[in-house]
Amino acid sequence: MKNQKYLNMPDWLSSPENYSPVKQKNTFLQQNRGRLLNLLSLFSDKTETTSQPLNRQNSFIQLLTTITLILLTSLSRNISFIWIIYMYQFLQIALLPKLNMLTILKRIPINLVFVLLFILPSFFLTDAKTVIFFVLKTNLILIIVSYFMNTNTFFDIIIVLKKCYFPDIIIFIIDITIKYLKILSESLYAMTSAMELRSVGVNRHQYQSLSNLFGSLYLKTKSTALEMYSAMEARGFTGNYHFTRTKQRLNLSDITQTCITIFLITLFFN
Amino acid sequence: MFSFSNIRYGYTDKLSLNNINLSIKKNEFVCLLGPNGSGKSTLFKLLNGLIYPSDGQYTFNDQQINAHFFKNSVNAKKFHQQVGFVFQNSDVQLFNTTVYDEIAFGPRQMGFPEPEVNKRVIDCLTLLNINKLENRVPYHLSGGEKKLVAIASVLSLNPDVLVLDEPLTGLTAQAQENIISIMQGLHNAGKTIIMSTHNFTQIKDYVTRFIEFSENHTIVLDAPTKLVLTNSDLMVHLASM
Amino acid sequence: MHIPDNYLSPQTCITMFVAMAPVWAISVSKVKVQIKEKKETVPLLGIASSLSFLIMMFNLPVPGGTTAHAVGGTLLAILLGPWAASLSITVALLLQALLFGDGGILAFGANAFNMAFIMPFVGYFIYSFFKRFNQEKIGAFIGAYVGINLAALIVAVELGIQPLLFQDQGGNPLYAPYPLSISVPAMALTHLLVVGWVEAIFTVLVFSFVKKVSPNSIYLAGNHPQSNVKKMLSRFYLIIGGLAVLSPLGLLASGTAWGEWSASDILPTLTQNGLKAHMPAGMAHGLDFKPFLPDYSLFGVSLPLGYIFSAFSAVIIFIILFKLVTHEKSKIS
Repeated sequence: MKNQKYLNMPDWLSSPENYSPVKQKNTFLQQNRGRLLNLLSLFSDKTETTSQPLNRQNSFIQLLTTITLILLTSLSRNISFIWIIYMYQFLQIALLPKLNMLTILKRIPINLVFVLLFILPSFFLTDAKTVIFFVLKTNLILIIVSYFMNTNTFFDIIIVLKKCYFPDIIIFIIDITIKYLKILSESLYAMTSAMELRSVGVNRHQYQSLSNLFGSLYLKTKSTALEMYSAMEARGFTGNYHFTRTKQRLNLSDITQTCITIFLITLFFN
Repeated sequence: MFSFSNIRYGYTDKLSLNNINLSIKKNEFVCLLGPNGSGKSTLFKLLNGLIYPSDGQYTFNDQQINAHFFKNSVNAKKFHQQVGFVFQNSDVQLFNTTVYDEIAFGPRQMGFPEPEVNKRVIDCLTLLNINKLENRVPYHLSGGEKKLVAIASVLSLNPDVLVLDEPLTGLTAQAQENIISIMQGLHNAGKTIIMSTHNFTQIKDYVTRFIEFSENHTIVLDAPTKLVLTNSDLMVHLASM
Repeated sequence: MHIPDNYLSPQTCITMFVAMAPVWAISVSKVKVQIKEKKETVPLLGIASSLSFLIMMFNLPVPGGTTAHAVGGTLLAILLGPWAASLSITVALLLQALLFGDGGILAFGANAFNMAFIMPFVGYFIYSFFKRFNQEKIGAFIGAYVGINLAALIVAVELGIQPLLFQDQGGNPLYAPYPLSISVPAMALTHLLVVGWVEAIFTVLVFSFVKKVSPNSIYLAGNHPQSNVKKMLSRFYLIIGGLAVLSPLGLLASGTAWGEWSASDILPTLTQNGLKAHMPAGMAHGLDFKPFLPDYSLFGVSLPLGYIFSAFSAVIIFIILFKLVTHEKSKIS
């Protein structure tokens, strides 16, 4: 009985398709898939740096140092001072494992292009010195931030925010955000792949399709949230969240870092 | 049709495919077996050009498939039309607001006039016996219905090869049988079918060849069904997976 | 739209943090109320932040072969309500700044102000205005378009005041070098012509999809929409009022921080340097302030004064705009 219906296999389906696509330069789906893949890779391996004793720094101290350094760089008008911070940063980077070092260094040229594109037209407004100074400072800040990003994971960040006495609800939201960022990126990655595989020609309603993708993602998000809530309720969630504020002990590298930062601050004001 | 030689994928200390040598001919019906995480899904992604091997060569119809090949949009589009992929999770594959639009997505892109698109959609709906779903929203369908719509949306492209990642997982017995007979029908119509499953017994009378992956991401068995069915030890081993 | 560090002066960044603080405070308290009624709001907020993050990293094609990304401020406000959207976007921006280097860490307050406050609230108010006439899609479209353009305008102002306020002794800009006369047209042009359309089309299409597939998944403003909107508006005025007070403070802050030049030293230097010389912001606070109203001006007004003027004008325009919206509303109901 069942097999009978396959006798009506339509002609077009039993003969090979004679299709030649039109040439079109449109690779944004592939691009986005690449970006999502990069994002997903962040969730997997970053344990390497933390296992190195030298870099097992207290995230809170690190964030404070990072912000202080950005602030000092941003305010400084002294080329020697900028130079000193550059040296300090590169020294720190030099102590990282090779892989992390490369990720930080790889960002520099890309960033330089962006900064230059932004600043170059202003040659007409100011002088070369100002332009160079701006580029140097912006680039330095990027390196400072990259260093922080490369030595801290999502989970370190949460610990830092707890230390900063963010309201529990915000920490809870951030906690869920990070967990679900992985799940949603995986979904979006699969959806983008699926769309790419079926994009065999010209899509005249590209925005429609892409928007549908995000619409579905939102609906899935919403139903996931409801499921998650029932799971939480089943475990006795009452609407209150308490976090134990874990104490991270300071080690030698934290103290060194703090001393260097204090030294840089005093240097700045002299 | 497909040929893999010395394929590796992943980092040296964390390979998800290790030294894969494999070739698949036209109109085969191949079934991949193996535990979760043994590399079946990675092989499927590779097969569909979503990722490229870290090492080794992959050719399709004697054409080397790599990043360079996909740089050319004409190559990429032709390839995706020829090789259809049904994801394990149908949710990620359905993004249109009606089943009709979902199935019409491919043919419309191929530039067919609307009557031809309509014919293809109706044919696919009839073939899979889901005409009544035509105007439903894919998002609200049941798991089995979603799977059928996903298959229909790939079939409407008329691919030469149909790759299905665990098409039977999570479906009712009725739906599973339905999908097996659809695959069989397509195989009879001349399509090449590559699928994966955990249920050897259910599929053993339909497929032409079995490939087993082991936990260390290599192929440990590659044999035609005829051979497998005569070896009772092997049958017991595969059925117990 | 994400401002990196060193484009804005730290003083501006602090001012923007202070400006954003009441929004965050109210959002948290508003959302806490929402959680008491519907406990699933908590996971929803977290998941919405990740969604917001993904919207901002997903490139959409733009005619001409390049790509742009939507921000989704208005969209999330329509789907989740403006306060929840504001919190979600804030969290997404925080993670972007700390973990991906998208947008500065010091500039986080400014970025949050533009994308997690201006965009969702402006977009949502326009949307809810059109909703009164059952024109939700038009509302979503115009809301998103106006929302992102207004945010872009504010970005342009934030960048454009930098060369006026923060210069070295030679009158050279210390941060973003382009004055308002360049930054505003540049931002306006790209956003009015390209980015605004991307945002608006994306918003209306996602909105329509959700409305068609699952209409219950769209935020409804409480049981008493009227009173709720009124309450929200009064809060909005409060924030805007606070901003009006803060904007001159921003000027002062820029002066108090680094008084490395004395006022009398700098006057001759400035004039010697001719046209390039501007009034350093530090002077606004200094003793010599009164006689110094130079030619260098913004639309014919002296610079620090011009800044205060434009800040106040913006506030007034805001108030008028929202007065108009609410007036229409009460007339209809």
